[in-house]
Amino acid sequence: MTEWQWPLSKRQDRMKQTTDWLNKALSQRTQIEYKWRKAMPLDMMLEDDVLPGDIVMVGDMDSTGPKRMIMVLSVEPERRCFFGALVINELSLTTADALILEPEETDLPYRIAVLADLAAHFWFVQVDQRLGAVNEKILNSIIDVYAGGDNEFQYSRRGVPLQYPRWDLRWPKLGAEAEILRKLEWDCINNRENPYIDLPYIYPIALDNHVTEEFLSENYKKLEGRTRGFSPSCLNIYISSLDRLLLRAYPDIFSPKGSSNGLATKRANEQQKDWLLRSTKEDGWQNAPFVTIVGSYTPSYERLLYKGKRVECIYEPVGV
Amino acid sequence: MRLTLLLEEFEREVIGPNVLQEIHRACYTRARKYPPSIYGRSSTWDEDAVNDLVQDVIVDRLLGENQIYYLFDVSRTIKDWRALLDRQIRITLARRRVRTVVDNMLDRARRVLRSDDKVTVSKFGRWVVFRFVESTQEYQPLTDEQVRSIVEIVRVIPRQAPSQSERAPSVYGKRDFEILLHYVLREAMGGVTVRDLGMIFEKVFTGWVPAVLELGEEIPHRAIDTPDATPEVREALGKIIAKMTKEDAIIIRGRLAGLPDTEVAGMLDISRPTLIKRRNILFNKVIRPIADDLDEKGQDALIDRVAMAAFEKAGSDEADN
Repeated sequence: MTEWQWPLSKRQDRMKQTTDWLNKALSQRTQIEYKWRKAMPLDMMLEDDVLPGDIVMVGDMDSTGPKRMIMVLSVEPERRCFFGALVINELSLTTADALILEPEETDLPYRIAVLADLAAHFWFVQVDQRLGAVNEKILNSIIDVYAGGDNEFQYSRRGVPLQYPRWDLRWPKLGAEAEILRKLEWDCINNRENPYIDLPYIYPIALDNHVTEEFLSENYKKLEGRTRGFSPSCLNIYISSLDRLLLRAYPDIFSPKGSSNGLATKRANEQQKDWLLRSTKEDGWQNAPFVTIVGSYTPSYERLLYKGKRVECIYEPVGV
Repeated sequence: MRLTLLLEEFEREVIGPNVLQEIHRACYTRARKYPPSIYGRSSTWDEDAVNDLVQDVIVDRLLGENQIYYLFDVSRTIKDWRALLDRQIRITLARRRVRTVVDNMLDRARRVLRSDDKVTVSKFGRWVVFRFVESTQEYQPLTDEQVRSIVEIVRVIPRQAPSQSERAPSVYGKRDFEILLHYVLREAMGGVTVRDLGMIFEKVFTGWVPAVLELGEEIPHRAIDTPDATPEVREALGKIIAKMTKEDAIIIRGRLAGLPDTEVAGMLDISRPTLIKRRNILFNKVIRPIADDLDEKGQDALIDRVAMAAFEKAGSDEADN
């Protein structure tokens, strides 16, 4: 298709006229500060930021497909994921299982509808931006509708019920939205039940100092045995010098060989340290797009694309 | 054009020259697919007509309803952004229609009510009020809640959806339309004005909005007919009606209206699980075996007629109560 252009001779006049009404329209806008609006770039920590009631933008794991606005209904901080309902701006698509919200209730600039019957699970790392938030009353209304309960408040805000497809032409559009939602939640829905993903890893560099034994002993108790050891990739370096406390702490990964008495830890060089940390994270990312590393040393939070997929690494400090 | 460039401009001045150029281009492209006499307030899509559309899109939708924020919030690419902008233009065009389906319905309602012996006409301010002759109540404009309650029930009455060739179809059969109007008058005991009816019809046709927006010539649209009732369909309908109790009618009506189970259960004063159980029995053991003998078209026609029968039965029972 040929790109459209106004005739050159008329362009200046038209631009002048356009500028007049546009300037007037722009100057009449009410300037509002949207306080909840916050971009969440790749290096931003999200742990405390995604909360029930937040309205966030969610993208797919490789950040290439369509994004959708989601209202967070519940969060699972241990598994770094949340459950949320689709938010749309086309109010004609709003059904009886939805809630129409005004800008002052969401801190968004426009009206929205939250579709409680289109809800899904997402990783924290899929969040691109927080746009707004609602209060507890509104949140509870949506949760009630999702659970099939009766809610007076929602009744006054809902849309027109969805009828059977031959009468109601909204089905194809809603079906397409549901399909996008299924794609967005695919990675999370397939991996979030993995029992190992919420177990933190021990920061491997903890091994290279003289207090390793005490550190591990102390923190093993603190963590009540839920801590997982180094990634299996680390084994080939340390298998020969494992401490018996390590064997006790990580029975699923290490198996004792020989008497294993009086094993001393071995100081890793800088190159090995980097390799150990990287291997640990990469092993964690095989199961889920996040890895939690526990240790006395706490580098900053990381959020990045790893092999084309969004991932994050959280460092959980424990005292030594 | 890159989305980041537009975003920077948006953050700086909301609508600057690049965003404006995009809107102009999109309006021009979309407008050419719509008849100018109906949507353009002009006989052709000339410079002024397109400029007028650009102004409506910006003032009403992008700034008036702050949809410009939505465009930037949701888009990842310039393609996403343009698709969302195009949607806003279609909505603007749909609102510009010289006559809508609702306008046609209101004209028809006026004619039908004025010629109805059971209906009387009076005045309320500048509005004409239609009410049943025997009604003694004073007119009160319908509240949002009343409108919603009425709409959720009358949506069961089968209607013919818009098609490519027919932008404003007759929608309801003659008898079905009279039944609909009588139901509305019964619910609004003090009568209704055309304004009230307009609020009802606008909500009734909400389900059509996506189709109306997509009536652009390049998009094939599925025409939906109201199928004729053949002798086989009438026979099947007779069997179902013979077995249909008052409760069954309310259950069928609730299902076809898409009402939440809790509300239908509330109407019958039973629990939600009991409703689901009864509905399963009704649909699987009564209606389905009868419908299975018909072909697909026949089944569609049967659903339309069963819906109407359930609407009338449930409605008349409510009136009796």
